Amino acid sequence: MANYLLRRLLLIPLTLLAILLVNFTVINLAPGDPSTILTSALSADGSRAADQGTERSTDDQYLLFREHYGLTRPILFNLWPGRTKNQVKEDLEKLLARPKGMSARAHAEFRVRVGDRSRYTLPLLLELLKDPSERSELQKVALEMFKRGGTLVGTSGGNLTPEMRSKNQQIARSNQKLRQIKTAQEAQAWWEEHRQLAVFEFNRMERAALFLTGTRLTGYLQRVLTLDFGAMRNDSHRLVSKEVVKRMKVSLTLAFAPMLISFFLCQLIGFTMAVFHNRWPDYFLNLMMLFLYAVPVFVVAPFLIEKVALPHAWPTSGFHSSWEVYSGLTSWHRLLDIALHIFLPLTAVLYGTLAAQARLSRTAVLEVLRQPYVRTAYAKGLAPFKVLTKHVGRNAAITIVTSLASSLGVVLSGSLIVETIFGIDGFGRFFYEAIVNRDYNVIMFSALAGGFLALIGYLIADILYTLLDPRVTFVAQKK
Amino acid sequence: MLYWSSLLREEETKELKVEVLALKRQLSRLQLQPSPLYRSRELAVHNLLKTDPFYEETLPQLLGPEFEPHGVLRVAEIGKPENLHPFSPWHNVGELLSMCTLPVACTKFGFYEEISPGMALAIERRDDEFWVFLRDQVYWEPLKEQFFPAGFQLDESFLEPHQVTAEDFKFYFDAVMNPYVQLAGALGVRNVFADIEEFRIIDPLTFVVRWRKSEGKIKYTALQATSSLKPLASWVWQRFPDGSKIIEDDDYRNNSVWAQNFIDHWAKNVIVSCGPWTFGGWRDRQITLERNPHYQGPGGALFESYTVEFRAVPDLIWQDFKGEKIEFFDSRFAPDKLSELQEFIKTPLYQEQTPIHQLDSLDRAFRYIGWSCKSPFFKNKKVRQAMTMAIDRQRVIDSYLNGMGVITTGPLSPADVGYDKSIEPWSYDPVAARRLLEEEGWVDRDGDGIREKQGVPFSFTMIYFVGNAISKLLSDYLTTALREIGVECKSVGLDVADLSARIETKDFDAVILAWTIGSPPPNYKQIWHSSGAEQKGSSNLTAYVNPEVDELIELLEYEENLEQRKRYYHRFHQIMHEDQPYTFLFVPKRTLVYRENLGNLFIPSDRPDLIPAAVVTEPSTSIVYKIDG
Repeated sequence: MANYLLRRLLLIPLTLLAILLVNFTVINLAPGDPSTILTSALSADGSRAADQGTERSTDDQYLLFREHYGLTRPILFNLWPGRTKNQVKEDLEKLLARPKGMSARAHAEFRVRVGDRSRYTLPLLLELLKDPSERSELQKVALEMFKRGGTLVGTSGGNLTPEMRSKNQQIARSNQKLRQIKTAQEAQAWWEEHRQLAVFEFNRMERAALFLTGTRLTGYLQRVLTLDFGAMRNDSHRLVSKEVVKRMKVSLTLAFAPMLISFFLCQLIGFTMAVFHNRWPDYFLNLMMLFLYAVPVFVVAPFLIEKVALPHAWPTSGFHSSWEVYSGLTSWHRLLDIALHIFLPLTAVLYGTLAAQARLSRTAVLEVLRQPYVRTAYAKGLAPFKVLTKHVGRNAAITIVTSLASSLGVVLSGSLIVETIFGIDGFGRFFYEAIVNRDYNVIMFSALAGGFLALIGYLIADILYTLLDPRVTFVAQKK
Repeated sequence: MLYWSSLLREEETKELKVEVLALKRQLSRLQLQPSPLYRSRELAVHNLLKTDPFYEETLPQLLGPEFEPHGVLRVAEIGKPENLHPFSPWHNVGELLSMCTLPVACTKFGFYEEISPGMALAIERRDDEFWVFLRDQVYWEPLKEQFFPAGFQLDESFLEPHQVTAEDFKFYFDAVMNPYVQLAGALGVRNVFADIEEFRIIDPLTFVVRWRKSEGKIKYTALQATSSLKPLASWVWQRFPDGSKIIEDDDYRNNSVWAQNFIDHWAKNVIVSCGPWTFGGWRDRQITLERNPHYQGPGGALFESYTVEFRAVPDLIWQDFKGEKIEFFDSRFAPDKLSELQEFIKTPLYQEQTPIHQLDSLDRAFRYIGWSCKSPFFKNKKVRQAMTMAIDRQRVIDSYLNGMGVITTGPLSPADVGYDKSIEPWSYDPVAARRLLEEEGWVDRDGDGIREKQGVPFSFTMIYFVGNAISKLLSDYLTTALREIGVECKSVGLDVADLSARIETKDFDAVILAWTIGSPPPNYKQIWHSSGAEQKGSSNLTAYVNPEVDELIELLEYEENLEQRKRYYHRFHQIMHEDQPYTFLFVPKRTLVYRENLGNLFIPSDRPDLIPAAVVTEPSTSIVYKIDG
């Protein structure tokens, strides 16, 4: 048993790594990045402000932001330092004239990618700039990309050492000069003066090292291995892990409480239906469960607000009262306040799970009731209560445990609808907003936390099997 | 006992420390003396700012002599802002920021182009320069440690008030113009200030803005733009939390490293305040503002505090309003709720509550379908006219907006003087639309119900914002309506990120969107000047080009004669109507639903008894107060 558990626990980090890799790739390959959210001035009603002038987009739009979040690097492998002069020229030609079949949007994305690569191809761009045989249009684009590649970001945040301050000053000056460059000679002069400011040229060894290390994935992995899951995109002082845990408390309340309640209630209802199989209690409960199962949560939740909360002046939103009120309450009153706030959301989460699990429990109990060992138990004169609790209950519970435990990871995101309708700032809504806002740190940590919970859920289920059914064992059987 | 007494002593010491700090802040407020050079204000003999009689006389009369600000004004908004950065793209953050600061000058209550003292007491024009004389003794409120996460180290200097000076206005200008500050709020106003040639500080309370001249004239909007300059707290945004400066050379207009730190600044979730309201804190989904007791300017807060709740869906706001948890419900959130209101009024719950009132007004926005002039389908204006004629706009308003809208004929607000009321909207006429398409060579030759031209079927893609219910309904309707004239419209709903990317690259045939219309004088260069037609990310989404429109826009930039300006606007409106780069669908009507215990909620133009000749047709909530009893 201990061996088995140890193996399972050791597998968790590996599984999480796989989850991380899949999620990281999918998220990074999804169209748009956090900077596209920044560009949007759409309001909730889909309107944009027409009262102000807007400066045209430039190649370095959101460059500082993208650099800061490592979005200018390739996702999994970095082959950019190895690009040849011809490849660079080919890229520039494509920028000059959009190839047939390439949409305007794909062309714009290609432009951003070429811009990101230019950091690694600066000497080649300079060569093209200086080459008198090259067309002036091509050199114009080469100059734009040269400026783009040469723009550096300084060290952000306080507590800077004198060296950091000095480097920041040099970077600011370099960027300012870079912006003013108009000719190849000026570009050459800038190159001579500032080439030492960052690594712009790479030898074979450095290229090989960059292949794996100069990517978004390694950047993220380096942080994750030191348990640094990053900060919120909108506030660098708020750690993602803390924010997720804060909301997890809310969501777990909305996930665990209905899970526990429904486990006991569904056993009770399932048993009643199975024992009174094909008689009126079975028909009645079956019909009721079917009805509950059929009514979607987005219908029930507003109904509860409209018909229960509003007429009785119950809270209609939030996990607790406003901070002004809540902070003035005693611990006991805080508990009551939370209970009053979550009663309706809990009901909304509970009824669906209960309906589904009760029907599952009925089937499981019926299945067990038909087993020969149950008939044997009755035959040997055991009291019906004892047969039902000791022989039927334990075995039927295995099905429910499997179903509930495996849903642990899903229930977190599943409470999104309830959290939205009841205005609760929980994990489901937090995760959803992070996806919409492309907050990579939150998405990744949430996916990992959800995956971890699901794995723990399966492990608990496996352990419960052995407790519920002695025939299940983790010790290898000798043949 | 010893333990308890030491605890009590500790509590007392803490309280004493808080009181001493408060006293110290009050003292520092008194110690700041006006600069001797400040007397230069008296030189402003030709002050362009006129006092606003509404704030001076009318409002005090409306409130009564006994009035004291009281109560909490509770409102709700959809969504949640990313942060409270001074250049945040989120329009509600802009509103909160404007409540907590004051620009150089304010528009007079009920008017658009008339200005009154704001942070400045006087503005004087001297040739191509505007001399701005600021108020004395206006302070930035200190930051509070509770605004920041636990353990965040904040230098003592941030916990003291600082005087608002000319330096803060120049700093705002530099921050806007810094090319590395690529935030929507800065990009939005950079063009407005692009013609400022020099920003000169004379003394701590006086600065000069010199505008570029063209043929001896400065831009018509130069005064308004100068008036819109705001202070940006240099004592916060130039520094790290430990009080040290982010950069040493003070070159905030060009420095990329400062811009980098400014974009991700440690105070970006705090509103540094010097206006009628001060920032009270941001917790989860609630932002609180408090009345600034030190504020002396126009339009002081009439409530003790103001809270904004951020809700995910309009339904939650509606429930909050019904439960008397917020004071207003704006029909912009969900027009369909107005029909529910009639039902709600009949319920027993409502009978126990404060009565509800409604206030209707015309929104300063319009919804449109933009036809890409680059698309092979919509290059020709006759085709665009045919599209407009195939759409029954009145039906759209009646069916999808419950009649809460007005058909519009151009990109102006029907309430503005520039709107040519003589222009009749294109009538709904599918027969005429079919005829126009046939004249342009779009004929259904193979009998499949879709027209073709040179073998290309008239089948195009229309994109819209999937999060907007009206756009979704419109796209469904348009697919059916255009099918009737032999045009296939494939509508694609996109989220914000995808839609923005497609709009930015002009990668669409048609788009359903809306523009909010700014305060007059309108700036049409942003959307209609041909200089933006080929630019990535420009607001000329449809790549519209018309040399006459360009000329009119350029003339309007410098024309000062109001009658001549009106003629230019009317001509512009006529061209827009004829060219139909957009199908101008409708201007929505807005209903503000509120409780009876709120006073002073009215539309300025409807109250000539209070504000003679007022032109603003929208209600303002800034003068609302709570009626006792």
